Amino acid sequence: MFTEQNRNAGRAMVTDSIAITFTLNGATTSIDVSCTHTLAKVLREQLGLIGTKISCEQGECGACTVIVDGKAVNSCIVLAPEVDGCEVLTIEGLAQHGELHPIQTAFIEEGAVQCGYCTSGMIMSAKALLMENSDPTDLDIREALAGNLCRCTGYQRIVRAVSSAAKKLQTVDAGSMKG
Amino acid sequence: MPGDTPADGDWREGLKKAAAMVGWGDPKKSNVGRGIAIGVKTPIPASVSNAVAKLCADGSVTVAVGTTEMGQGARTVFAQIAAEVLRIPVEQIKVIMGDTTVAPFDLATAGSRSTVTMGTAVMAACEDLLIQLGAIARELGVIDREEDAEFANATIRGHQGPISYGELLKQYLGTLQGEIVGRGMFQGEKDSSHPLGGLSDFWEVVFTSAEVEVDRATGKVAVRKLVNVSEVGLAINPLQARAQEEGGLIMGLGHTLMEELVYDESGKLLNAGPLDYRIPTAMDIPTIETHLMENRDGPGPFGAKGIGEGPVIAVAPAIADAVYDAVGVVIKDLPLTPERVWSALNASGRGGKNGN
Amino acid sequence: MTEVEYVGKSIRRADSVKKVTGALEYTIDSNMAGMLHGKLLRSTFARARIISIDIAGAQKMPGVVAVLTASELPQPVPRFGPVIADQPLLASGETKYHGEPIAIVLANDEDTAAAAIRQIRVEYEELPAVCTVADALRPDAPLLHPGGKRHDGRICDSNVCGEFEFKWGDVDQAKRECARIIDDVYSFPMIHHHALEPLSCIAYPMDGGVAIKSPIQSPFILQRVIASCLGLELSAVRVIASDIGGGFGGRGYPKLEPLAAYSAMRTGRPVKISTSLDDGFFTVRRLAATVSIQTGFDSEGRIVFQDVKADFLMGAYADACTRIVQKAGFLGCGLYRTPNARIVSRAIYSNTVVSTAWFWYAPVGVGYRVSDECRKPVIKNRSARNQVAQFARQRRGFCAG
Repeated sequence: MFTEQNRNAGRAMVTDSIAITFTLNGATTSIDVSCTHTLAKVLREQLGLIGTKISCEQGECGACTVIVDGKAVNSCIVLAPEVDGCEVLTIEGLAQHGELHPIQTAFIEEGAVQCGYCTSGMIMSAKALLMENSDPTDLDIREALAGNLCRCTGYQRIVRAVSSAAKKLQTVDAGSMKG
Repeated sequence: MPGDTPADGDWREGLKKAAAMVGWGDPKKSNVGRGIAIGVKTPIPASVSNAVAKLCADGSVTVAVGTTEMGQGARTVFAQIAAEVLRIPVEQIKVIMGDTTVAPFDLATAGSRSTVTMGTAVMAACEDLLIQLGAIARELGVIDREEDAEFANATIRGHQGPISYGELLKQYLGTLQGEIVGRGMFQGEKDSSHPLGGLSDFWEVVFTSAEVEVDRATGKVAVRKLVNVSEVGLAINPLQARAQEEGGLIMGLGHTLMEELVYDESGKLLNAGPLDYRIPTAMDIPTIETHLMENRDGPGPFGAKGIGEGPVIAVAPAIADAVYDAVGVVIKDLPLTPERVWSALNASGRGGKNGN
Repeated sequence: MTEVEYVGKSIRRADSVKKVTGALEYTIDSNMAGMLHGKLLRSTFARARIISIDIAGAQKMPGVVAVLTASELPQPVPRFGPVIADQPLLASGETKYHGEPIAIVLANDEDTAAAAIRQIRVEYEELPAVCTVADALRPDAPLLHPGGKRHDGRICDSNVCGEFEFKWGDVDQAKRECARIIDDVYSFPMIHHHALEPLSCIAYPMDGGVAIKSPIQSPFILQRVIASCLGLELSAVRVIASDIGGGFGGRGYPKLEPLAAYSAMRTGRPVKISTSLDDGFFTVRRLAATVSIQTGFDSEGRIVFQDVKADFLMGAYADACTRIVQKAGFLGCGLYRTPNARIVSRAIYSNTVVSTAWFWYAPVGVGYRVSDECRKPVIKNRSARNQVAQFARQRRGFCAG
């Protein structure tokens, strides 16, 4: 996914910061980033998007999940220069025109939200799953969420919410809602 | 303990329900077992909670409490209680939490106490507002006697029909100067002769049952079903209450089957971090079912009790009991890792292939 | 009152939209103008004498405003704790658990603070540590708090911080008379709450006092502890509890806040200490326990006595563990009508991470053995269904006297 951008990344090895351009929640974004900063740090601190949460900072807990070029990634272990030329989707990009995405609505309605700290990451992992598999089984959902830790909910309601959102999305015109 | 608040609730009903929900008595394959256990705990004795409710000029309300929100849903529960007492839409209630300069003293958000203690304080603060509104209405001649005050739809019914709270304040205090403040307090009963300083306000009682399948060859315990029945008095918000109970069950699953901090002999912690310290993931969860017993017998608002912590207590005995039922070994050390179960099976001669 | 409109209804959580859109601001998401970032250096040994800490390299890094160790703090080093104020802001003289904070760097940005931490050189002399109940109770065991106060105000002359006894009836007499006695020992390991939100707090100076924003479960306890630790009046300490990303009892009592508050008052600037998930493992855990229960039965299988000894392994500092252990002991007989009982529960210091409440003061140690204990005398001649009924019959009148 990132190999085409390695040219830039290679140059970045000898400088402290590098200019990158990428699509963020549908908008072209050009910024200078430190070569040692993670995507999570850039999103949160440079771009003020605190919806991507940090926790383990080792790629283990999934709280920082965002979608890069259609794949769910742990943004805490993606170096910012790696997303040059990529399409990045964060939790802030889900709701459109003030209307919640069906996954977000399903989380609320199923009672899948408690402390909320894992919620952004869970929703993004779910979104990535549904972009690839519009009719997932419960096992598919649990496998997709296996890298997202939650301590409050016991997961059952989260799985149910994703399943419910999948069904809702299937009844919506595929052209008007992208996955 | 003799002399303490009797442990309340209908335990026979709870046990029967938990047993029925896990399929107690249904035929089962070999290496499958079922277990059941009861958990009890009490909140913090002799504790204090205060609340303040402010009715603003436009009839909206802020409720200030020292309780904090950690996902348990207290913010929503207090808004529901306030809306119910004040007869105003819940959207017009804002709950401000955990600021010591804004809120009056609250001991702690802990011990499953907040719905009962702070809920009672919130209720009292809102009732205080109604008393003041009644007095204002009488003084304005809107009603004859305070005892006759009737509240509905954010209005008080006067001689000329309903008057909104905001309109009442405007007439009494002047345009946009209207605010009245209500206070409420809960104080748990102190008892210096009690070892914990006071009697228990209530008992949090849960009935947990489990169905497991044990792999004799590896010792792995697969929990197929986990059930929790809770005595909640009344669930102010049933969805939130059930969600809390489910979470507690899986927290219990973690500590029963997989969690342990490992220290070496020199005292160094070896498994800090999510990679080496195993908590349940979405791949580990059994079928979870919860049931709320609502006998409206709690000391809290509308008969509520406290919830949220109970389900974690009885998971380990229920699962350990089920393991015994499945393969006949009693294990008294947590967690029930595959190694521990396998060792117990082999020590008792019950190990080997799963067909036996 | 007319028909119920809201109570008993599953209305939407008040904070649900903020949480599903990522808009909710947890403390770790917060920043303040002019804020210093605090990073902690943690000890690499469980118990060690701190021979020297060389902070010169860290101090001279551009962007570093202050580097504090116990030597830079007021003497004696301020200590905090909700019941016994025994935990120093930074380890003083000796580290008492693996991961104990021994220095803090305060810098203008997080990267600088993290880099400066790596410049600090510490010389330790490793000392023998005690990490189990047995080791902590040996007559020659090193004492964690020699001269410190126990729960009952007496001076610590062992690693027992608190000891509680509950009894009624005459257990010794009952032992002589009962038909059958069963001995069991149960053990519960140390576990961690593992909330997803990492510990963090922001403290800032305020009107001759200090304000602290923290995911603390109990803001008034934090207020009291900080006021006491720093010698401030309660009215000079403001605590603003943010929404907590998972509490579970692990966020009930102060941990990093007193140090942040002191640092803010000392520098005159807001101070944010933020950590990651791993740090939580070096900050807080649940008590471990070994519970020995001797139960006596009459010839019909009814419980005649319970003799319970519960030893709880605390961490290096008391936190609220004495109260937790007291409460756990209080429920030591579990669910059964027990005419004669003796329960002794002890809270014992060890060179492990500080332990605290877990699901507040849940008597986990007691709950575990209930099923097993009751099962034994009846398993020979009753079905499982009858056993369930047996629970219910025995349970009635449990606390009636």
